[in-house]
Amino acid sequence: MTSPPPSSDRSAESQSLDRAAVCSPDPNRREASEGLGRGTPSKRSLTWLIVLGIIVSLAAWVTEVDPVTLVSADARQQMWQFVADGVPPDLSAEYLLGRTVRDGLLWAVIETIAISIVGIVLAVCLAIPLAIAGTSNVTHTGPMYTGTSRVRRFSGHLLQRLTRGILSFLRAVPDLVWGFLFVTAVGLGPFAGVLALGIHNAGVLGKIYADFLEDTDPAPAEAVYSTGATRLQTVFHGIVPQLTPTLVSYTLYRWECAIRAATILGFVGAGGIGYYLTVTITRLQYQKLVTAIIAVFVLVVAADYLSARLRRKLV
Amino acid sequence: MSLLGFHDVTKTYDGTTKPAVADVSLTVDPGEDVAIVGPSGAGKTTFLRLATGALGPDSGRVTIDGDPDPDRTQTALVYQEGALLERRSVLSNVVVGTLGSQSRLRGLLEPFYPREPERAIQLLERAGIAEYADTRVDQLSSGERQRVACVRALIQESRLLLADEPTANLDPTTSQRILDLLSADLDDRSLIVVIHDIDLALDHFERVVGFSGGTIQFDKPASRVSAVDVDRLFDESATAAGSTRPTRAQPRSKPGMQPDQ
Repeated sequence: MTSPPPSSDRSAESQSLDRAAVCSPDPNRREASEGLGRGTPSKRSLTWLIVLGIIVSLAAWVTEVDPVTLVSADARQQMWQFVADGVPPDLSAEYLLGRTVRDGLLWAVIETIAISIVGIVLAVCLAIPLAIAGTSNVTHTGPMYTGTSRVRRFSGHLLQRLTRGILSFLRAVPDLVWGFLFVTAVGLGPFAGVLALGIHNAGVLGKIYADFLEDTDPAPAEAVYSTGATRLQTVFHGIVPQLTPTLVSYTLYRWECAIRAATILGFVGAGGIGYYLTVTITRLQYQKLVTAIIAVFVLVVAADYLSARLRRKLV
Repeated sequence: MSLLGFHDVTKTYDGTTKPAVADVSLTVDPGEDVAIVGPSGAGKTTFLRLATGALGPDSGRVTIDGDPDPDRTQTALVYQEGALLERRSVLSNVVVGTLGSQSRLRGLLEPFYPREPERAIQLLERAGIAEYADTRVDQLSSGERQRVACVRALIQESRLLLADEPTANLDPTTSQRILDLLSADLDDRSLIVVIHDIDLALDHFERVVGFSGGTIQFDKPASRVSAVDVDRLFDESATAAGSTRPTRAQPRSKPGMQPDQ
């Protein structure tokens, strides 16, 4: 809370000072306002606003945005029909539990969680070495490379660029596409999903880890390296400890994303609850579909909550 | 043979034209303790980093024990403001100092699970901070942190011990304690300390080297450093940098006073 002004005459004084500053031909002041140069801030933000408006309008035109269709009587009727068909949701034991253990919606939920966990662990295992090889202050710059030969630094740079390229590729291919690829390789089922999430998230986590590692304070790293530690020891004892909580926190966030991704991997047959989503949609079983959507909702909310709790514990 | 040798060493940082250290020649013998004094930007830290090999000279040679390409374990540096790992415990920060004498693989785990922490604890006791062995470094006071940095350097048992402003912003008692810790049992080892407080330098060290503008202005036994030497050191820098002098010697009657406080 801010305290009330100590006395009225003080604010009066500061006001008169302000006025004096405005009126007086203070050379510094004028220089400062001239330094701003092209237009006042409000003018510039107006320009940006117009540019943004044009971009959004263009994008809306490309995506055939038509609000009238959305609120038309036909659309309203269709949506109402869907809701009416979906209520009440199918909560029968046969649908939820299935006939065998590895059957039923609940098992699909468990499978989804399991895919996300194993997928993220695989991603971390792949991301750590890739991130280290993709970090410039590990491969060729900074305190560990003063006085090293040009060839050594060049090859380090090459390794770093190459690794960054691999990470970009892993990241650029969507997890659903990886899922499709792995289904053809290892067959239908959750293992394909694990591989898909692992590979895609290795690209995401590897880039983030590397960016964070490049942003660390070089002083502790130099201090550790100067004790005679090897480069690898310096990485693990001088660079990584500076941001362990950040790395763990970001990994947990990616796990949240992985859960969401795992819910639709079933679209391409890579296991999880997504299978129920597509099957019930194509068979028009809306009551079952609504149950599956509720399950996905609960799953995502629970994962968000859990990961937020864990992260708060870390900081 | 001298332990540390600087032979016409010049170093210019990338992006600057004026050398940080210009044509510096100096030798330090085993058993010597040397204070380096001078205004900010005089090249003192650059000198230390050249001595550890963290920086390579543009021209000239830096030798340790006559070796122009020394092993990193031969020097130990107490970094300015410590350069500690903030989220790690005092003990694991100190154990980092033993990495150079470990096998590569074992060294990877050592700071997490120090197998023989006795020596670290002993040194922490000598520094008076053994009770904080399991405390995270970011929860210590600046004097305690500085002592952790000293212990990390001491545990390396290097022959050449270097320290960059280890007493900056500390009270006189703590400063004294840190210098005592660093200079204990020198024998055939040498100590070089960059220090801001000229009185501490004159009281505590045998030899004082004055740096200004990247060059050595004077290099003499502490007993023969005059007020004129000190004045000239800071006056020259003031004219060179076009600024007011950052510090000057306090009257000798008040030893331990910090000029910047």
